Amino acid sequence: MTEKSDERMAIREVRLGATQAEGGTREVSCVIGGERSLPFSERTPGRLLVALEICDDPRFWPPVVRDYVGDLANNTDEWARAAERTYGADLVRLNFTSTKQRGFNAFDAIAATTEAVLAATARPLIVEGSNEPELDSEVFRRCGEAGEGERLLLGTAEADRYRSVAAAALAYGHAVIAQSPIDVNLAKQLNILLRETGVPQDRIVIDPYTGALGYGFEYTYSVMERIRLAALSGDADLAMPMISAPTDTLSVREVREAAPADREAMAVAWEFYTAYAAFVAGASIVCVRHPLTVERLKKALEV
Amino acid sequence: MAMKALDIYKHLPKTNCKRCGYPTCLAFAMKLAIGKADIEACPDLDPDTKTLLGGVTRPLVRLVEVGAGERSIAVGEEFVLFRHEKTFYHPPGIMVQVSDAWSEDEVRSVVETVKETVVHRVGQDLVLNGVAVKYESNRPDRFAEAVALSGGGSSLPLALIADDPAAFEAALAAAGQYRPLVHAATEENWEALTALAKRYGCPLAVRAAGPAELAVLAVKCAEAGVPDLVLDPAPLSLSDFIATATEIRRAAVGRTEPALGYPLYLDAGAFGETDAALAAGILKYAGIIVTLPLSPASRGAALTLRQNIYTDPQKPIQVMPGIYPINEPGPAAPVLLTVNFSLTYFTLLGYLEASRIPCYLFIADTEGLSVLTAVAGGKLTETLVADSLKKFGVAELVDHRFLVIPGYAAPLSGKIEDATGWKVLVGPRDAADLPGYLEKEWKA
Amino acid sequence: VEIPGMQEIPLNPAVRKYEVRLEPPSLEDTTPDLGRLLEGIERQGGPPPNRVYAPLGVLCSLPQVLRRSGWHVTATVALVPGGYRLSSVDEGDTTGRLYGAAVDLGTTTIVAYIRSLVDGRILATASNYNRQISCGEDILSRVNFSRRSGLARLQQLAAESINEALTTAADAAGIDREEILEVMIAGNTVMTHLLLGIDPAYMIAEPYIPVVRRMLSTAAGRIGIAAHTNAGVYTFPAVSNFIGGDIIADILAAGMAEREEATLMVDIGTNFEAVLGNSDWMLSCAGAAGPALEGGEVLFGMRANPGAIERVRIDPDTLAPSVSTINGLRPRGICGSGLIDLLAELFRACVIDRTGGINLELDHPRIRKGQYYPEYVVAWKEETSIGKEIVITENDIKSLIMSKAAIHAACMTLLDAAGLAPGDISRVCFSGAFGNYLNKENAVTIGLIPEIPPECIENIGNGAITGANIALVDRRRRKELDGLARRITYIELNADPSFMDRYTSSCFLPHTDIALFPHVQQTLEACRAKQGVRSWQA
Ligand code: B12
Ligand code: SF4
Repeated sequence: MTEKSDERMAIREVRLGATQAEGGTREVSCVIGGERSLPFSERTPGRLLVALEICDDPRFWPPVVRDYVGDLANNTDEWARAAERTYGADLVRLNFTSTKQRGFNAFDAIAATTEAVLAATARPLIVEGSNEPELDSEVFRRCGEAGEGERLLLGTAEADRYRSVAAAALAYGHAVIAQSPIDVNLAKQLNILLRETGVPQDRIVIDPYTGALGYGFEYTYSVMERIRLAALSGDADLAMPMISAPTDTLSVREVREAAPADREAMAVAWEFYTAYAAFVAGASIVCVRHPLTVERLKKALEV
Repeated sequence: MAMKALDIYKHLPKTNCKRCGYPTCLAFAMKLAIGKADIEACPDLDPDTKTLLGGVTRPLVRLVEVGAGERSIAVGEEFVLFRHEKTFYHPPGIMVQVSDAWSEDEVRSVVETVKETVVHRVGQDLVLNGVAVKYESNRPDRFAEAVALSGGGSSLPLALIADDPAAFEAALAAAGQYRPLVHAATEENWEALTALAKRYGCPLAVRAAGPAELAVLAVKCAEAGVPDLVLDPAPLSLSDFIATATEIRRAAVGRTEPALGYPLYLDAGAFGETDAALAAGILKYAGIIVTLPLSPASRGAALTLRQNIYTDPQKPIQVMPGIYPINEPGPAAPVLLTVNFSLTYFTLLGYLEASRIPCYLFIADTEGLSVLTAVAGGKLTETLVADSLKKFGVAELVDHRFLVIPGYAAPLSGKIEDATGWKVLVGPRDAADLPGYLEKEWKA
Repeated sequence: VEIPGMQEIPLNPAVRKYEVRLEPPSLEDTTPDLGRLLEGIERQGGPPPNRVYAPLGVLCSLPQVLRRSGWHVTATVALVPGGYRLSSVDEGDTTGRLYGAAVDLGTTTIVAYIRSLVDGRILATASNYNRQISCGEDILSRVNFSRRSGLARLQQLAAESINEALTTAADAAGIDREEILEVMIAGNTVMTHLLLGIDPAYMIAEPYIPVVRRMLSTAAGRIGIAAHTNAGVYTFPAVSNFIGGDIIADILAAGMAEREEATLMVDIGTNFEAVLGNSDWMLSCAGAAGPALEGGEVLFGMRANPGAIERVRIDPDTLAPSVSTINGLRPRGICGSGLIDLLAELFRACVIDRTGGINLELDHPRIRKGQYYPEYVVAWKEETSIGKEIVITENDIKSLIMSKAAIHAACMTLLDAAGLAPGDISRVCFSGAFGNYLNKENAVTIGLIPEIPPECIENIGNGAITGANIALVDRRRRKELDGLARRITYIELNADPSFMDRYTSSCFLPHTDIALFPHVQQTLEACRAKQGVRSWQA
């Protein structure tokens, strides 16, 4: 890997969210990526973002978070507003966990929830679409359409499930999360597939899949370092910003089996260490689920 | 410059005599090319060929031992900038800081916690490594007392943090013979501190702002007769530490600045973000990390991160064998046998989670091989299944005795039934069909 | 001697006949019969008597043969490890009738050639199934059979299978099997162990240890081979349990050890072997590609038998396929070479993406959501001879890609170990039946082998039988086989952590690192441009 930093390629910049001037309703839009060297060696403020994940059906959400947010969990837009205003999240990531119900067909609700969350928030929005391949095209079309012009970050494209989310991103001007199972080559392959379906490379964010701390996280950490190094040494199909979402961190044994009094502290510590390490490995966005983790991460990033 | 296998091979005797432990000279050359063999192993090489092929054998980052006895820590002797290039070898020593201005009880409780803390994970015991005593009382005798209170270095490795030689004089009198880390020699006090470190033969931390000054100071201390050094780059911020530590480690493993070939030191309490600093130190090359007292949650997470980052990535990507509950299974939920190859685990997990069917994923240790590979390679056997059933206490989790096995493991079904006494159901070959199969076939 | 695919090689057999006219014994000359004969042989340029060993069977018949023939006999003397053997003594002059057999002892099929060792000509060939199939389809199951006290049975079946081929060939050549005085057998390590009755049990579980890997020789009678009972039977040496005598024979057939530039040789089957090297060094590895490339595990896959689709082209605009089948019959299924053509053509026509996913958004009657997987119809019901449609499913395509990936990853492992780039190889040789009908351009398009100009890709066909022929007629090359086998460095793919990296990056058409396949990339971009926006848009 050549050392001379000027020769190195930069990570592509991806714009998220659209202000009034940019055709959307956000108070502020963000740009991630653009780095030319290893993480934390150049200081461009606003390029490392902490997202708080919320969902539209709390039945499939970690109990430790449900206990903390209480009633908020039952109305998604309030939860979204609190995420920004109370918990200080840079971004909200809306998960349509309702699509996990058997025989789901409430597609109108998908559009309505997207609009409600957009109305309740001021910063760019990440929308995690359906959990079911068959529902993909309809769910992505609905939330893509509801967020048209807002430059959402739409998730998630996978190697054998990318055409619907790519189509929605193309049709409504959104960016796409491309997820691969902890493998540099598979990450590159998915980016090539998306490119060959017409998705511009500055609208792709790589999700290398984050294993929970103690349950395979080190493989994620090394894959993220390898992706960043490949990008810096000129691999255009890997020169995209990365998003990390340690989603099963709050269901690991250490959190599940902690004494009730310690459970919250254990959940936040487990999420914090995974998330901070993901930033050190090169993530531009890290999504966490416990509100208390957000503030601690943002302060840690300023030091 | 790394010589290619074929270039090295040209210089070897080509007699394939096997005395180097490799079947052929080319096999030996290939291991030499990736630094996994020692040139001395071939007896038939003349000295100049040996130097040509051996290159610098001095370790790139010196191995430095802190403390003495059973709980001593050895850090350094690292070879790569990124763990995926080969592996990291010596995990950082985490030392909890006490102050000599504290009361006796406060000091004792920290020392006790450090001694008692053990986290059992994946067959390893994760521990905190020592106590750092900070000189804040301005009274050398008080400093010596705090050092004695911390075990004097005989039970736990110590770090002595001060800058006044007189304080060190007093502390070392009490604990000098147990190789405490003396922190830190600076441009002002290095003569006095090197003399002390040399007299007691203990490791010395060198502190200066930035790699260049550090290199100069390190050379001075080494030449003054103190070989075991640890570098404290006096970072202005945590990001500054990450960037500087990377630069120092790159200079050492890249052989561009041998004088920086020492383990690094980080004071995790310096920026008011102890957890973040601990994580940054573990990830970015710290050998000794001094931290404020930690909550049980922070301790658990930090020790686990250290364990993860210092595992050898060269082993095939495996997941931990064991029982993985999916979608909150109860005692009537099906038990699904599979292998611990990560690709198989992730493939199955995706389909099972999407299926919303509560079940137990029962992962046997096939050393990272896929189902078919493990069956064909004789790794997935009825004995492994039987032993793993007992080891993971599967019988206690469910009230039935049905085991669903992968379609590709069908040839083993009879043998598994005999060996385990469970009724074996042969599932579909492909994970995609598993949810449909369970919905249809599974009636607990 | 003319060897298919090789330049002429000198006839230099290890067994020779000497016509000898002896003085009958008398009171003055009381030399015993054997001594007298051996001195006669020496006078004819044969080896010195003290270096010649005479089997008991020959001695028992020697007195009558000498006297019945009036002391005019033909002695057959074979060069054996450590000296010479007097293999047979015939009455009168039989110097014109000296025959040898070259045998490919395959897991599934046996091939035998009978040659005259007087002038080197091929007299006849024969091939038949290996009767061991009754004890198990593949190596794994046969070794398990042998562990259940079936070793003797398997040894017997191996000998019987060879004898069936020798008998057929001998009859066709108009000679008697007794006149075959040397048999050269190339077989993989397990097959060689089974033929010689050596227990292979410890070769199929870690650490995979064969009993022996040297060239072995025995008399035909000892292992029930129906040639002259004293005929020398030689088995090829092996490198390891995965790189057997058949591969050493492939190397001999490809003349790899006689070239300066590096050659890459691949023997593709359910298990594949690959060798890279030249006269100075050689690397080898083996692994499992899976049966997909031979039609196994593929819904309508089949072996290369009559009625199998062996070549396919797809019109990029109409997506209609034009196929040709073996013997021109109505299609029954698709064999290996047909599958590779299909994969390459579907890829060029953008019906599938680079991971083999079928693009269901293409509105076309041949592209549909099948029972379990999306599929492409290759032949409609009325076009086939099996009363139903022949399709290729996405699952088939992915199995093919996984199999080709294992082979490409193995080739790249060898190249990386040697520190070479694909451009440094001057020649790629396919050996084994697989290479015969293979479209070389398509093999590169799907990334089965590193990109190399088609004219540098050769097919040596059944390298095992060719190598056996070479070793039969040229004892210098046979003598070098043990040294060759010992010199080859075997790379255990399982122990090479970066193998999986190369394998995953090869699970892509042609490869994740597109720069490794510049020519393929150009032709692809040309196809896509020609197809206009259709595929790009959908
Ligand atoms: C890559 C590969 C290797 C790699 C190893 C990769 C690994 N970590 O396993 C290497 C090169 C090391 C290897 C070695 C060998 N391999 Co291999 N290998 C393969 C290959 C090409 C892909 C394997 C893979 O990645 N599968 C993907 C994973 C996800 O599949 P999986 O684990 O089976 O899981 C799927 C299903 O089983 C199912 N499933 C999984 N769990 C469960 C549980 C339940 C309850 C259910 C219902 C379903 C289910 O869902 C999953 C997704 O569909 C296959 C060919 C192929 N097309 O599969 C051959 C293959 C598996 N290998 C094979 C063989 C023979 C071997 C060797 C013995 C070859 C040799 N002679 O050395 C060695 C064994 C090595 C050893 N020491 O043990 C054969 C097995 C044939 C047979 N008769 O069983 C195969 C099929 C190739 C072939 N047909 O010859 N191999
Ligand atoms: S000891 Fe030396 S000569 Fe002998 S095999 Fe090893 S490298 Fe070759």
